[in-house]
Amino acid sequence: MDSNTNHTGITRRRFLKDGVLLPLAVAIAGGGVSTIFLRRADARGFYLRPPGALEERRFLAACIKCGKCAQACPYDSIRMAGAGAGVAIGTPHIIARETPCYLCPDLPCAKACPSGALDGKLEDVEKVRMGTAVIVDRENCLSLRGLRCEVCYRQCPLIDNAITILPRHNQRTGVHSIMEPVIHRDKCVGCGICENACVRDKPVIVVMKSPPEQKDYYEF
Amino acid sequence: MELNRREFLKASAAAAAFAAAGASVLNPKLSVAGDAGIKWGKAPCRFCGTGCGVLVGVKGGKIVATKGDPAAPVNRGLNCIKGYFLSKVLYGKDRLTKPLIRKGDKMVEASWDEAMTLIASKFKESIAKHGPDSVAIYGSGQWTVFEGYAALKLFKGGIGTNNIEPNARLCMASAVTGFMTTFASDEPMGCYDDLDLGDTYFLWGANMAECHPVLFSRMIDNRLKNPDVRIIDFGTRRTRTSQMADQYIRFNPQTDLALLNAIAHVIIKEKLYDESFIKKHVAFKKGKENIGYGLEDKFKFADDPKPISFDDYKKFVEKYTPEYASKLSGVPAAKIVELARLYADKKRKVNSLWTMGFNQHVRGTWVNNLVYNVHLLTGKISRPGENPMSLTGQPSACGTAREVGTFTHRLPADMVVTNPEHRAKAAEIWGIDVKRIPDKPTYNATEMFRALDRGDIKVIWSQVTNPFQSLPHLNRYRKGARKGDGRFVIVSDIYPTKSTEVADVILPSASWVEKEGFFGNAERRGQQWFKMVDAPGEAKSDLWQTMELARRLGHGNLFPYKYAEKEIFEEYRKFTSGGKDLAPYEAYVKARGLRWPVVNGKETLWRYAEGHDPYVKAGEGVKFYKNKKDDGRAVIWARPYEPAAESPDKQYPFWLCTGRVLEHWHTGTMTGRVPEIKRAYPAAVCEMHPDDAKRMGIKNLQKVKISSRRGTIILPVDLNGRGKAEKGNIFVAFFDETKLINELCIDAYCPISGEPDYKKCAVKVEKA
Amino acid sequence: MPVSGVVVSCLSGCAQAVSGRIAAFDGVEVHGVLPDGQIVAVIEAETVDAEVKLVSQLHEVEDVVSVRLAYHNFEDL
Repeated sequence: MDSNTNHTGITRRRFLKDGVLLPLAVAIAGGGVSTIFLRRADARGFYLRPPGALEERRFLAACIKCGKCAQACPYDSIRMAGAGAGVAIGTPHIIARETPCYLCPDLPCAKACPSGALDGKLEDVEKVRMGTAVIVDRENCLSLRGLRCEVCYRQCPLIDNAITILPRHNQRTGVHSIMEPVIHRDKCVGCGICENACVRDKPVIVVMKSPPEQKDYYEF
Repeated sequence: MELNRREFLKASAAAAAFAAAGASVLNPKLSVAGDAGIKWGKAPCRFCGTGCGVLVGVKGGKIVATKGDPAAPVNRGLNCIKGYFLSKVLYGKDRLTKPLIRKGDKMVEASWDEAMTLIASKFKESIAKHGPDSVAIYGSGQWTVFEGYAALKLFKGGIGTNNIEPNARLCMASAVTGFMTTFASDEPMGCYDDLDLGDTYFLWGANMAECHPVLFSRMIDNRLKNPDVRIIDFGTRRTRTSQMADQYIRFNPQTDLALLNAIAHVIIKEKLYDESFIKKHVAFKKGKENIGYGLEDKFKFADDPKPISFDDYKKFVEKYTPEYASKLSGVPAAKIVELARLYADKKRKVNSLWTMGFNQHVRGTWVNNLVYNVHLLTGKISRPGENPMSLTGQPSACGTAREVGTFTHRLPADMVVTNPEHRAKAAEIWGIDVKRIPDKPTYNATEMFRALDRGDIKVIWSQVTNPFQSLPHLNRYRKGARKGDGRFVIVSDIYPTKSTEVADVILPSASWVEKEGFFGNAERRGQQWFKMVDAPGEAKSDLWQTMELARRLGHGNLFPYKYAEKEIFEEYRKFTSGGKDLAPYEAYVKARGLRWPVVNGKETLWRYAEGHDPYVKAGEGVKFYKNKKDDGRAVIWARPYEPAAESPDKQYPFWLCTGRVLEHWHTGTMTGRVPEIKRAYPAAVCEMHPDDAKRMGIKNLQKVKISSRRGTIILPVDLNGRGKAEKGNIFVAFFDETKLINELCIDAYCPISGEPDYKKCAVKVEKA
Repeated sequence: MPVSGVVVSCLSGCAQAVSGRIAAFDGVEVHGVLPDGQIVAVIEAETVDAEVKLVSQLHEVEDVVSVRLAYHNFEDL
């Protein structure tokens, strides 16, 4: 590290990329993001819809707010949005931190939907895409701090697919490994069981709106 | 308040930064940490046998913070999720704070004096009417050394009965008899350093990833640093450990006996054994066969060891060809040969690690013997980085239950009541007439509760454990406790449990840092801590409770202490010289634990090894000096394969295996009080193979009825969970007090160790 | 109001001088200088943004090589 060149933006960026500051940058960025995302999903403007829901705008148009999906849910995971929801008032959604979607194999909620807002033809729970889990607060994640937690991973209904464990050397202790939970976007259904199970006061892993797929010019 | 919280946060921030910078600024003794006003003290975690060190922060008489102790060699500042929430287990809403006495169906608050007067009168009455063997104490591997020692001294040296057992009988007894029969001294030769130094790890019936989380992360780190490291997981269930292992070897339940004999067969047939090591350090023996299952009340067994030659032993293993073992176990013969060669590979540092899969086994002693056989044949033992290592499940299963010897047949430091010299030594240290100590063992844990059911035991006191959730064939013993007719059950605990439900008197206990303590972990490391906070309400330590009963029974002279903890330790230490030596108490106050034997202030990392163990003379190399009977040799045993006590049949077609999960500890009475953990893993499930479920039309999460010949339970099915049952097997964790899976378990046990088999019984599964 | 614990590394031999320089910032408390030249400090700021700004200012301090975050709390107090 050359301290004489750390006054220009470019070297600063390189400095970051060199990795010395990366954990700090991630942590601080995570801190900024997480003050928003550590709230309940509905309080951050994202509604976790029941399995098989259409894209949000089309869902709002199609949902007739009949509550049949909520009645069909054996875990009372699905609730109907209250007055604070604006245009989404009366629509079904899931507050994962309170009761996540447990992914019934026969998807009774979607089958109960009379309007097509939920896709009743959906058969395979692994094809459900309600959202995507993201670790929003890496700094407060116990697993990333080297503790043996990984509750999100072990409770994931798609364990070893949607979440896997990447062990890496713990430099601080020198003899242990950090078991990092890694979420795989292409497999995660967004059920919110991880968000529900996280042992921190504010869950450090939350379900967010699935990011749009991006064209990749690089072949892996 | 705001300011305090803020100061606390700042102190935490600074402490975390110091830890991250690799500094240890924290004094091992209680110290005041700057402006935050938090006093920090060291203590071992009170959950599993790993023995992680934690720092406990106290302010205003309450624990305000705990964290991994960066200076603790076992965990270097890390914990698992249970350890992270450790202090919360003391602050559940329903802590017991007053003695309670049963009045009809109600438990009524009472003073300590009333409760102890009642207890003492019941003891006196029962002893007078039915003799001293009608009263009993049932403790645990969570007893501190002082508590276990006081109970042992009172019952064996005062009351004059061998009716003392720990719950460690349900978890470590087969490891003990394995060590005693092979090496004539309990506990491992190796230590956790072997996890860093070896390159080949065979795991047998141990889900280390969940049950010894911090040790597992250490072993995995070894592999990250050295790509040559191989982890081979032998199991009957695919676990998180299997997932991270290099190879998962599935075998049919109970056939580990055949597999280990087949590995020995290959090693002998291919002449991969270490001839000179065997010549110098090994004796061969065989014992009785067809030894039964302990299913009948008052079952008795005595082995009859006979010396045999190496050639006899070779003949014995001839039958265990890879093909024969393959037929029994389902492991391909070629795989058995490959793994036997790996075990014997002279370039590799080989370790075996095991837990309940071996110990909770109707042939638990045998299977422990068999794994030692392989290490003794290849000479891979008592060397840094290559050892067989039995992992333990409780914080002081080693330190208290095993080293103090709180079993019916034992006395401290490997001594037994059947040996007149051992009794004499104990009587001398205790200052009592040797005739006081009965020379016959009475009941192992299962038999103790059978005796309560029959009415042979009238008064039983349970401390720091939850037998009426954790015993096998639970229905019988829960009913037995409430049969009346003079039966009187006393339970000391910190929360209401399934055991306090059947109690006549409930005593509120102090836990962990609410009292001074001493635990011994699985690598022979003794760790001391001070009392840091007061117990809530009128709760008192089990040590105080035991000594108070002693006083009221007229045995107060056995406990003439001013500083009971320290004086008990120094008295107990007199037993330990000659190979299990403990250091003076003060040394443990300073150290982050010491591994015995501690001679001249120096701990021992590898027992029986020259240059490490002070009892091995120069030039001896390795010496199993504790086994004087066989001239300091370890014993290779000819132990056959025999079937389980109950195997699946047409009516009950599935194997049932029980066990733990990372989040919860044992019967969940503590971890279940931590809301965060409770939310993370709220209730037990039944793991089942998807093919079995499909065949029966059972969908994921659907409720099923599981029945054995002893009980029935309803649980949701988990087809794709953290543990994946093999075909024809199901698995249920036993922490959930609303789902008592142990009602289904069979109370068959290893005739040598007396340890029940919680891993194998036959059940049927139906849609509920 | 966020609180953070940071480890500051600096060029060898500069630890004492650097600790003086960073202690001069509002919201930075130096808790210790380790024998190997690392500095442990606690940072307080009104908002996460202000904190990020403060940390980046610490990077610019003469002879500072890196600032590592070891602890971060941003609950509302």
